Amino acid sequence: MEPFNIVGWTSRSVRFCRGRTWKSILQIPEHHNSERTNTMKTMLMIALAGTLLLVFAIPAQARIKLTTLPERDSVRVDIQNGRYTLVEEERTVNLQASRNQVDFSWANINIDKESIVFRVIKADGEVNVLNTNYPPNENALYWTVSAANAGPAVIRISYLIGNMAAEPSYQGVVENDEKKLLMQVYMTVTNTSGESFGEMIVQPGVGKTSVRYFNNGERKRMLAAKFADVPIAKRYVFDATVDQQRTRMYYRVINDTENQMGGFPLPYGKVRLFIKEPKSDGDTVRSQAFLGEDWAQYTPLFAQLDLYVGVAQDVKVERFTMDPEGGPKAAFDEIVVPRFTIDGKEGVTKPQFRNQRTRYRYRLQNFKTEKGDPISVPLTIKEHLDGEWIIEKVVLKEILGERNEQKEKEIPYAELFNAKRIDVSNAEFEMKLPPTTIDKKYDLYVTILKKYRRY
Amino acid sequence: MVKRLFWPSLSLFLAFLASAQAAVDLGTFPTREGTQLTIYNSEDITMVREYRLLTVKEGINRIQFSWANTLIDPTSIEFRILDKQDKVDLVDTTFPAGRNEALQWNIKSQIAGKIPVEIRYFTSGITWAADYVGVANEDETKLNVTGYVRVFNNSGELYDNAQTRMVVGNINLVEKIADLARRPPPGDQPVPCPAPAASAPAKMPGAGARGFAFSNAILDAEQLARKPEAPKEVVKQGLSEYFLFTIEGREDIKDKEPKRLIALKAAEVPLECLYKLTDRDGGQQFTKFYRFKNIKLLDEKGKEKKLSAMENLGLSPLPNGMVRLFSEYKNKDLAYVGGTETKYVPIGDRVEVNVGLDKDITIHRRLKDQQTTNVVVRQYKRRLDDNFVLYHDLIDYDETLYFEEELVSGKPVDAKVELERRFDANVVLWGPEGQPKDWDSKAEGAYVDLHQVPGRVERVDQNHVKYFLDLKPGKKQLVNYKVTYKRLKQGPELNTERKREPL
Amino acid sequence: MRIGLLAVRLFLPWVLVAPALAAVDLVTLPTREGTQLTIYNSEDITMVREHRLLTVKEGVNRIQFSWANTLIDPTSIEFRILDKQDKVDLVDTTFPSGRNDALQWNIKSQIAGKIPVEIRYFASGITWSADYVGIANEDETKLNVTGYVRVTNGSGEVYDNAQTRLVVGKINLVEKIADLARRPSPSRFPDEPPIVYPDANKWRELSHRRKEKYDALDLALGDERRGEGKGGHKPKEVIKQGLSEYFLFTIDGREDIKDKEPKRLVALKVAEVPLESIYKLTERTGDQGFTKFYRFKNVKLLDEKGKEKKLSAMENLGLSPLPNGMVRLFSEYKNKDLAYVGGTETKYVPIGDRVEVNVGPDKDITICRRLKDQKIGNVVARQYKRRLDDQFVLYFDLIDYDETLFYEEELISGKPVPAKIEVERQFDANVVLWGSEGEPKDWTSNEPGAYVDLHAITGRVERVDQQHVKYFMDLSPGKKQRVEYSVTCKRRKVGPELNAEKKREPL
Repeated sequence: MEPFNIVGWTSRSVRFCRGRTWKSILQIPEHHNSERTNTMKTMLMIALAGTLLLVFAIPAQARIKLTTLPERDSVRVDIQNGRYTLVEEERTVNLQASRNQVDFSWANINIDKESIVFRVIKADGEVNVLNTNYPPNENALYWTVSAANAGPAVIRISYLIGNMAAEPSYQGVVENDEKKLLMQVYMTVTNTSGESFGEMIVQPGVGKTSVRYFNNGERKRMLAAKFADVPIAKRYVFDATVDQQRTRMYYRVINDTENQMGGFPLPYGKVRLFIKEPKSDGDTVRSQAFLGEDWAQYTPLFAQLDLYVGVAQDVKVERFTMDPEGGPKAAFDEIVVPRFTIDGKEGVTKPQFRNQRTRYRYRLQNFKTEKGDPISVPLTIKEHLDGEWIIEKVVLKEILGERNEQKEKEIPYAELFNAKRIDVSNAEFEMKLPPTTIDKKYDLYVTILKKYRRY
Repeated sequence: MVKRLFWPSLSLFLAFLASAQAAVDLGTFPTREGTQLTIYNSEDITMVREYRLLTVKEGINRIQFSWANTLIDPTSIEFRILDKQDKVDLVDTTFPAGRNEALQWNIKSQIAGKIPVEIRYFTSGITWAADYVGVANEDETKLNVTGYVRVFNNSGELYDNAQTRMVVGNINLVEKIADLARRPPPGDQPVPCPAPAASAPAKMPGAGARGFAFSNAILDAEQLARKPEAPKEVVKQGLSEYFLFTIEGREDIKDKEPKRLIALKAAEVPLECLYKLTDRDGGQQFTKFYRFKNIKLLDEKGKEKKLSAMENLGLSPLPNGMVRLFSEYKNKDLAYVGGTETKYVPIGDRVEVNVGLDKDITIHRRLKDQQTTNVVVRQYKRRLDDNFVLYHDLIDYDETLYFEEELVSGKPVDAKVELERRFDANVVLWGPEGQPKDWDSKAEGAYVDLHQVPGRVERVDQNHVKYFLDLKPGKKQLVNYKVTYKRLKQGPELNTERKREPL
Repeated sequence: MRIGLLAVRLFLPWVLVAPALAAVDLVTLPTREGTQLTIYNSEDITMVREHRLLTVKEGVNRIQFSWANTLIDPTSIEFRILDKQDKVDLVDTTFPSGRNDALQWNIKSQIAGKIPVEIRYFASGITWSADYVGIANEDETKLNVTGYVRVTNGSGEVYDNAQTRLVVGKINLVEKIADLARRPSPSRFPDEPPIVYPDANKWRELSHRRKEKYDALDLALGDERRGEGKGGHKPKEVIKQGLSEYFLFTIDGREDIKDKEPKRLVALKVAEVPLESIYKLTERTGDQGFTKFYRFKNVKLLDEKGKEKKLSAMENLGLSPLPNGMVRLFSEYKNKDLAYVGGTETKYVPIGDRVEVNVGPDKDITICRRLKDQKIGNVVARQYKRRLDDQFVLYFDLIDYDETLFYEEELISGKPVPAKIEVERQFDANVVLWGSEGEPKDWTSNEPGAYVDLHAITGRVERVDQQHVKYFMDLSPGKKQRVEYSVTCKRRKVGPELNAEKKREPL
């Protein structure tokens, strides 16, 4: 029997969260730093060739009690994949020339043992992995590794564990003039691995953070990315299918480099928006007020992200369905098409298709002020349509006075109004809405011709 | 160990006493001189060949073979005398009544002494599987592929120091070995011998011709000291429709302890990434595929690299198995890309591994507009019964849909994408090859105008069209196309008019 | 105080035996230097900012923040270093396993000393609302409006000496703060005892205890404190500022926002606002009589010469929107006797818009609508044909006719001054209107519809939508006013089937 060399490191699992009391909570687990290795639950052990039988004879417990502790050089947890979490640990092991048995075992941590990858990062001379063995009924495996020369080798063990959740959230700090914002992306990672880590790197999909400890069960919130001076477009949106009474205020940001973002597709998460307040007396630091929150949808590059901030109570829109201009007769256009009969004659007929005309009236009022002065607002009215349609006619009327004194006047709309076809199902009417008063408001009439409707 | 070979025939009675437990310890049974396992992965069957030295007396020798608590198919057990066949004969094989875990061979020998014999049988419970780990470089142009074979032994038997061979391929097996092993004995009826349980492997050419090559498998200790031990070579050989992987040397195949060995270790395999989207599975998201070819690796000059069989591709098929893919950053950090099953890949064919959904390439498809044109009413006539004829009108019209697809790639390198779109009518395609002859036809169908798409366009089948694009990193690519559905004879029936008229 | 801030430095094990409910009493606990509450009224959310002076050592400092028994959204807690940001860094925020009422901040400092920090979080349980009292003069031409804000604290936490700010506006909140505060920690282990959240009883108990404490404090502080807001002192100013779509009302100075002790402050006190009364009747509500509305404009008050009056922000309108709230209206006789007119909810009123307060049904103005006559004309029968089965065809007649209804509405006002009224009528078909603008082109059209002839009416007529028409009038006191109008309903293809005739004939 050859002499054998066993190197291993070990763990006493300390579960900080169990059986806690106030006392234990307030004794903040700083000791994790000094006794970092105590919390490690994955273990590595090296045995030289020829000790195979002997190692088998040693039960798992015996291996754990070995005391020579090589450092775990670094640990990295990678949650980018979204479905699986990858843990990588780098260790320096002392290999003997010829055969070594590298033993790896774990407890409490749910490792997918099929996924374990063993890599030699740095070694003096060639190092080969000969085979991998899975002892029955144990959370362990061993590699048979052959080394050309004796000496230290840096190895990396990578494996998948059940997913550690990484939840994105955003915080936007809007400048007081609402032209730009600072967008901060946070990732909150929950350590569900079963293992308490010491110093490690966490890569939660966005960003990369180095933390000093990460105990099992803990959550950590880390700043993952930051975009400064992101231009925002403020939009006032009225959509009768969403809310018939109120206009909503949205911020629109665009996820591209031109707009100071575009680093990556933005993941789904909650956005909380704050606004910087004007500096006031007795406030050493600029106060921020909470503006509102919304869910950010998954936003690819170049795509726009619309965030519903709150109700724009100063911008009032009312929607009425009107008869088409020209009275009841104008509600439909009949369609006349050629008709070919069986005897080869050609005539005309009216099939059961017709073009339907719908007219909406929007009563528009804008009481928005900025520093006491009335201002124009960019209003978007959404309509949901289908099939083939065109916007046939737009009329903008200025309404002056009230009651018996009320006067209507058609005004040119070209500079104030723009109809946009988003797709077949969505139209947007964009209006640069000037300030209004009680005695001056606007009526916008839009006639839509829906074509080839069966009746 | 529960399988026992009894020798001589005198011990027969004793052996029967031992019965199913079979924990009888007889001093004189011949040990296995060598074992060879041929493991199939498509079915739960392993062919075991044991090589033993049998001491025979002159005259009739009765040998008992029992295999309690293992999963051996009794009908498959074969006995072969390997030497002095002219002097030693197998007279018969007897299955004792009421048992299915033992049999006796009657051997007639003209000499006394040791003769080499082979016992061959099928057992269940040992399987093997291939699996792969692929580590791509950061920009996903090269892949390091390591192929593993993993042997699982749940047969209840330890095979130590066995030559291990694995068969890649799907054999036909009409009855399961595990069932055959568990089948109770057929009562008092004599067993009709031999019922071939598996036709294909029994006739395997070469298996017999190879014979036993067990002798020089022990590693040279001196050689070990000089240079690091390379992973065991896995020798690959074609065999009829199958491939035979033989692990160099001998292995201990322990019960319930899986073993994983490297079968292949190819570095820097040219890798291609491909992103596919198809309406067949929703058409909303791209799926990423890794592609590489199972051909011999070439150096920069396009010449075949000189590599050992273990380090090259294109020398054997790649058995089906689990693939786990990682990509490695320059700092050696790994990122997990995905895991999937691959199919068997023949030599020369392409390996295409589904890496999973890819969120970096996004697509947004909009139906921008639609138009109805060429509405025409045509009269038709249909017989109703012996007396009536129905005249009615149906409508023909063209409906044109205008689509816009917005594609954005967040990849750092050019991304090859492939989009497959479905149209609900027979497709007439106007691709980059020019306007088809029947473009102005009045025939029903989906007239798909993709001629402005920058990439190639391909017709897949009646309803499917594919187009190919290379997306530049961080650029928005708009693809506009339109489809005109020419619809004929659309109901409901208009102007129906019944006429009593001679038909 | 149960929001504890605790700083523990490296290798300094603090042993603390304190029940969860008791106040965290540590020597190193920095006190709150200042607190600011920003209270929202559209949702149950309050933003709390605390300023504290934190004593740090060089190296890594770990600070624990815990908030047992208060409803704080753990995901909202933010830590900001206000000074020496180049020397002091927040490394991370850690939520301990299994708890959602504590967190730790790891702070790396290059210096030892005191640094000002801000802790910001969202709490649930504090709300505010506005309410108004309006007193009109006898002839209802002027209104004195007093606006109040009322802060109600049900959070279980006392915020003393806090700057209090109220947000007027409807923010979008996708998850309720109270739910977030109660949501268990995602990593809680199932065998752990559940975290106990304060229920109403405990709150009451707690607040009671606290109230006693503060009553005692109040006594001890004496008159100085209690005198605030009472006679002789000016009421606290409420400063109003626009902020995005909202308005921020800041209460001047500092307030103690005590648990379960609502506080009401004057936010607005405006005299002699020009008032208008209007009487509306609409068929949308099914009301038979008129409803009275008070109307005034949220614009700056003008003097007799039409110039803007010089008034403080508290005493003027048109400088901030009026938050929604309850309005109680009185009218004051010359002898100062009050009469209660009504109470109602008002909506938010932007700057420049009109406040319209529903005062209730008004019986002084009566309306009597009579259908004076009806006529049927242009009766025409048209034959139609329908297939019955394979053998028969049904020939039948349907009738087209025009039915004209002549209405008379008699309106009488018992008001001492001219009354402005507004009547909205509904018709059961698409309306073609002959109103003040003259006869429409399609008046003689043969299409079905309700052809409403209101052109003889003295006031203006307005089309509201497909089926509604409005007219406006001013009623002189004690005079009878008649309104006559007609509507012609052009009915087409009206059944039953006439002259039904079954014929066996080839199709």
